[in-house]
Amino acid sequence: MTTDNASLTLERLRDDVARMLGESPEMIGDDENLLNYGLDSMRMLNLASQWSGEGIELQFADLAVSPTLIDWWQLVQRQRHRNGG
Amino acid sequence: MHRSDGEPYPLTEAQAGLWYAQRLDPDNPAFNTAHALWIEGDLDVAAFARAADRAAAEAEALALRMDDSEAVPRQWVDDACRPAIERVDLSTRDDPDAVAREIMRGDRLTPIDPTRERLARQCLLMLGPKRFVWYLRVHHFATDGYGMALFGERVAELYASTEGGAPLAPLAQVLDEDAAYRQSERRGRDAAYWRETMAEAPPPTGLEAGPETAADDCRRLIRPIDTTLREGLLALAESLGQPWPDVLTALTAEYCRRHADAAETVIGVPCMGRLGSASARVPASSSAAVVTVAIAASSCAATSAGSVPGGACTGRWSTCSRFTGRCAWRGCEPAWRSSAPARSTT
Repeated sequence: MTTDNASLTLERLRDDVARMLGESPEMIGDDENLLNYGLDSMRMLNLASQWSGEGIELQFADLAVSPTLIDWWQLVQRQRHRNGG
Repeated sequence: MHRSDGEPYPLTEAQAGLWYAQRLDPDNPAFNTAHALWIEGDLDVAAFARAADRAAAEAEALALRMDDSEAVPRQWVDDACRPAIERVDLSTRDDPDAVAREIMRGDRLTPIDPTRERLARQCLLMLGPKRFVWYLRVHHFATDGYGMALFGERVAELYASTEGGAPLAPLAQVLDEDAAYRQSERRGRDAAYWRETMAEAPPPTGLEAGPETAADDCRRLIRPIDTTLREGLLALAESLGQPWPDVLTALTAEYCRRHADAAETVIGVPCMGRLGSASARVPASSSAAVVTVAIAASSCAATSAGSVPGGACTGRWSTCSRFTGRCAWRGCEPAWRSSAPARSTT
């Protein structure tokens, strides 16, 4: 399993999400509900599969429970911790 | 499971829509949602059965019982209704695959009376030493397609390791969230928004003339698309900044509009009600809605793709009003139309 996800930062997450939603990254606050920016299940799946391609396996259900950048970032860090990274 | 005051729960908003639709057409089995997982290879049958039973013990919705003897229908979890896995040995039959398909088809197409019968059933059909089908059938009152997938993942996790992971989240979270929404001021605003938006909605039609009625069953045909179409679709999606499924949805809508020879077409787009909600981790019948999007004849396919936010109406429906603004900003004028209790299993 690839554990080389060190390149993913909170800012990269923000950029990816912003691009998917057609917003500027600086518009999206860490704890803002991404649903308010038009995030939907299809776009969430697209993001999850994009990150999965980079070795970051995030469960859809975990992303869906709390769609904010800060909570997604915690999921990334937890996965990194589990992988011993 | 009962409320903290010991009373049964009322139906959730999602369930209530399904309840009355089923009551109008009690012999229609369309709300039987079913999954079949074909397994080839070595399977530890005893371990699989343990995993399936344990997951069934966690998924409270699968053991719901319903009663409508009072003024309004009520529900509670009854341990006696948990779907313990049934093992069915078909390995000595002439054509085990065909027998298995016939058993599953027959079960799925048998209507359920939710006040008298169990809502869920799961079977392990044993076709040969290395060939099995795990069949799960649940009435839509109890769960939806997403919930079925959560349940399937949980069984796989428990089969892989008996220590395995966190249990499925409790159903009470979903029921309490629904109750809070129903009592909220926001629900009234949402309802007003949709009543107004839907005021001039045309009656449902199909590709053929005449009124559209619900079918008992659906058919699915899977065919690969050719490379040129695939690349064209991806390029169009990229240029519009939309996910390709949204673009495909828009093109399908335009196809329907042309066949119906109508000035505009209104399509249903399943909208996942679980985002941002505790229900994302609970197998249950969720508050998914079918949001419908009108596509006008004046827009060419590419423009309509730009105006279709896809399942973009997320969470509770009121977020749609934000989307109307977003679409206007994109220079399109999509008419948002209704939402009805979903018949989809999103």
